[in-house]
Amino acid sequence: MLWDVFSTVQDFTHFFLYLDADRILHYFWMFLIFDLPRYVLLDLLVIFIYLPLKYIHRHRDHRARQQLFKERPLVSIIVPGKNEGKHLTKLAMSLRQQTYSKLEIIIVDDGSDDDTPVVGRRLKQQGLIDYFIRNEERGGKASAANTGLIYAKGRFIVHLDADLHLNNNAIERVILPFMIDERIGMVGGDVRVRNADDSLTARVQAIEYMKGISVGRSVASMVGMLRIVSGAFGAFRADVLRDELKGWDVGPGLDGDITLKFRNLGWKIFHEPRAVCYTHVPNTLPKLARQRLRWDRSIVRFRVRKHVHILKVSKNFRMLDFLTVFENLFSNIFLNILWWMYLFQIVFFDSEFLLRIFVINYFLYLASNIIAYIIALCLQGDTLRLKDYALVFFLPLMPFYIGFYLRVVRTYAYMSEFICKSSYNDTWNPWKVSSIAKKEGL
Amino acid sequence: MAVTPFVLLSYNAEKIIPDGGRYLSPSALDDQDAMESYFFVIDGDDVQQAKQILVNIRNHLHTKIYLKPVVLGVGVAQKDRLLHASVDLISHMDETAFPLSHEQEEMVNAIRSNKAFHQKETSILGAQQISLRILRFMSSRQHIEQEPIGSPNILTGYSYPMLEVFFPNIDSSIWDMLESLKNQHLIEGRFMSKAYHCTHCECAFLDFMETCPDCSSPNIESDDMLHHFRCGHTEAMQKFKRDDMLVCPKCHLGLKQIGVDYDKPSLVFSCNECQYIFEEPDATTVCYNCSRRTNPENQVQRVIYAYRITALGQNIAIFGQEQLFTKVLKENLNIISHDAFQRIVEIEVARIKRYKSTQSSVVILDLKGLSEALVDLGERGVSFYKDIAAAFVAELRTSDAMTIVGRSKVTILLTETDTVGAEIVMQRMILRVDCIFYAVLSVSSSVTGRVMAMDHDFDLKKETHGLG
Repeated sequence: MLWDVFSTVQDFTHFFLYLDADRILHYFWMFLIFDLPRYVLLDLLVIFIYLPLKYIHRHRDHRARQQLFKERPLVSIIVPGKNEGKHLTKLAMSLRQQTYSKLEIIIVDDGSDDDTPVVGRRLKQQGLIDYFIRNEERGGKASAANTGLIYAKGRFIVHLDADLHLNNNAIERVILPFMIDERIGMVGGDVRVRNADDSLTARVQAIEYMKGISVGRSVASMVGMLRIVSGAFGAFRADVLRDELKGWDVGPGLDGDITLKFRNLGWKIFHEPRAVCYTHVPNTLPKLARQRLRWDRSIVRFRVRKHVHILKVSKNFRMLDFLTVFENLFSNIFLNILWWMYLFQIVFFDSEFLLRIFVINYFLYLASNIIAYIIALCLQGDTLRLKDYALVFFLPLMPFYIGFYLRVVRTYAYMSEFICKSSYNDTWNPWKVSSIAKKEGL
Repeated sequence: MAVTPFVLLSYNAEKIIPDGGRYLSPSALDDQDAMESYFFVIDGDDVQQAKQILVNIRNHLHTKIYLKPVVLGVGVAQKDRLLHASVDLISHMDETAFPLSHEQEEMVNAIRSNKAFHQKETSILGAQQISLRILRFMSSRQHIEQEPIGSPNILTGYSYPMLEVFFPNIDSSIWDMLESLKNQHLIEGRFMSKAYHCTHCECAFLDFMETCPDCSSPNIESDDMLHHFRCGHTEAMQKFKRDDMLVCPKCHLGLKQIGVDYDKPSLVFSCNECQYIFEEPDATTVCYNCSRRTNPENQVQRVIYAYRITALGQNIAIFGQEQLFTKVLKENLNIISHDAFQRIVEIEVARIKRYKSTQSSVVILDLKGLSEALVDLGERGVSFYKDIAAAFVAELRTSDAMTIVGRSKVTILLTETDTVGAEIVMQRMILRVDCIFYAVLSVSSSVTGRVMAMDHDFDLKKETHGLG
């Protein structure tokens, strides 16, 4: 038995080591040409550029913090949502324990039919929040957030999901970049997984968030190509959001949409990995699929349809915006198509080595995940919890999760959106809103 | 001696009296004619004087005075709505004709024939006395529901005109009294309305206003919040208005149809003083009388009822509060009439005289403090009385007989029981009653009792003489 395993490993190693460069490229082009640079080499910028720069600029960060506490600008926190009553008390407590306390908390109830109005009014009476606004008719998340925007008086607006838990310095950290660079218009917080212990599905998402949000967005932010600030935890300059953009457009995917609008106006987008919040993620694969279908469809709807003008040469053409959107479409839609082609190739043309190619690919992707995980640990530093280290044992699942599960879901999402415009039927928005968006191709 | 049908009360001594009547000064209500006449006529053109005469009547100590029907001339009645409502009858009185119609006479007779009209006044002073007077008044006019009348001339907003004259001072005591009687189930209320009264001065005239939560100014405006479906823009309607159209300030498209292009999910308020925008204004009240500013939740909210006396209330109006105890006792114990008890005692005395070998006893208990307990306990008084009745049941046998003498004295025949045994039974009953008093009212009772041996010359009439 042991001998069989040994001989198999020896066979696979022998196969890989004795491949010439052409054959290696032929069998593993997907990883070597696209995924290695995208997932490993770019991430290494964190180690070699991002963190050293952070260290060099530590005094600047310190001065920005002093300036923040000297000026004490009002920060308006907008929490829109439907049927979120069960989360509101914890969120309000978490906000009241922030190191930066000059906050104005606005909760907008988007036509809830649970106990949200009771909870919200109680929190208002207790003085834990400043506003509880009840919209009797559900209008969707954008409408609710825009309602909150009317009441917001702060210099900065923070948009939060109701089910978040914030580290007690999260608001301070997410506002600090505005004090460092006044060309920054939006700052994204670092969204991490709160319920990783719930299931394997939640655990692999926890690793995915560490890689994709913490590392991926920090790198994108550094090179000026950040294309999304998470709607769960994002901070905005109020003057731009309210006066120039007049709030959010209809979703789903309103967070990516508003990010592109900020970019179009020339504002810098920043990701702050130390502004930590924790969110609940879907704990079963079907629930996860539903969430990802919505996210992936919004890429087609907003990048391909609504903001396709960014890809066209015009008087407002900006190369960085072009590259950002192009990279987004390339890495999601184009690479997804390539992945199916690659799969087709090894199944039908290289079937004699199918198992060997598959196993070697698995280890290559596993290695890249391990590297990305280590980079994430370095980046997150003192904000890590003990249980984040324990996620290392679930890294072997990541090639299956990202390589197969997410790609299949993504493919289905793109096809349904391209062919059927399924995002307009999503119950995430009320039908009165979706029907107009569909009719007008918004 | 012929009865004077009515007495005309007037400050004008030269008034010509219609046939059958007699003039009296308002200060001469103790006059025998005032006592025996069928009704009073208040004469005069001055509202204040008429009111004062009415107050004097209703605050007299004798039932035959303060319960007597009062007739007011239509002239003065028309000058004051509340005075009009505070008397029994209005009459087109002239100097020659009898002031009442046939129907009015019947009403006067109904009041006069009510049992409450013929009760002796108690000598108890204070609130309880007023409550009894109110009950008697309502009992004598049991067909009349005491409806509140709203008036801008009354500080409390509502008045019970017929009852208010029993209260010389203008304060909240009438409200408290009626509430107390209602709680004791002596009167019942029919919901009429609700009203806020100033917590400081009882004034019902409060200016309710919405104010800015930031600067407390009432100079605020409200506007519909508009949600444009197409672009998700949400803002106050004012910002969408362009000439006579609604145009989205974000995407510059016209909004035509509510429900199709836009909806109105909520209201938004703004302060014209400090420009503060808010979702819900504060509410405050300013009292027109004392000018104090108070939150509405801190004001006194009263339910306004129309009152009518209950059967229990009528019982007390006629017999006093002690009678309630008799009623409860009768329901729970085998109480026999005083005459029947007397006869049983005579038979028992005859039996003892004949056989000489047996001995029976009579116990008389004086249950003092029962009426005071009812005042303290209100509606719980009935269950308190039931507990006391249960204490008697526990100690008595079926062969014992019991009757009530007077208003709170209980006489018990203990057959085949000598005085020693009867003394034991009596002490046990006193102890039980004492325990109930202490448990419910946290005070000891002042129940006393005595035991009498039934020998051959025992005379119950003699022994119980003067008890009632």
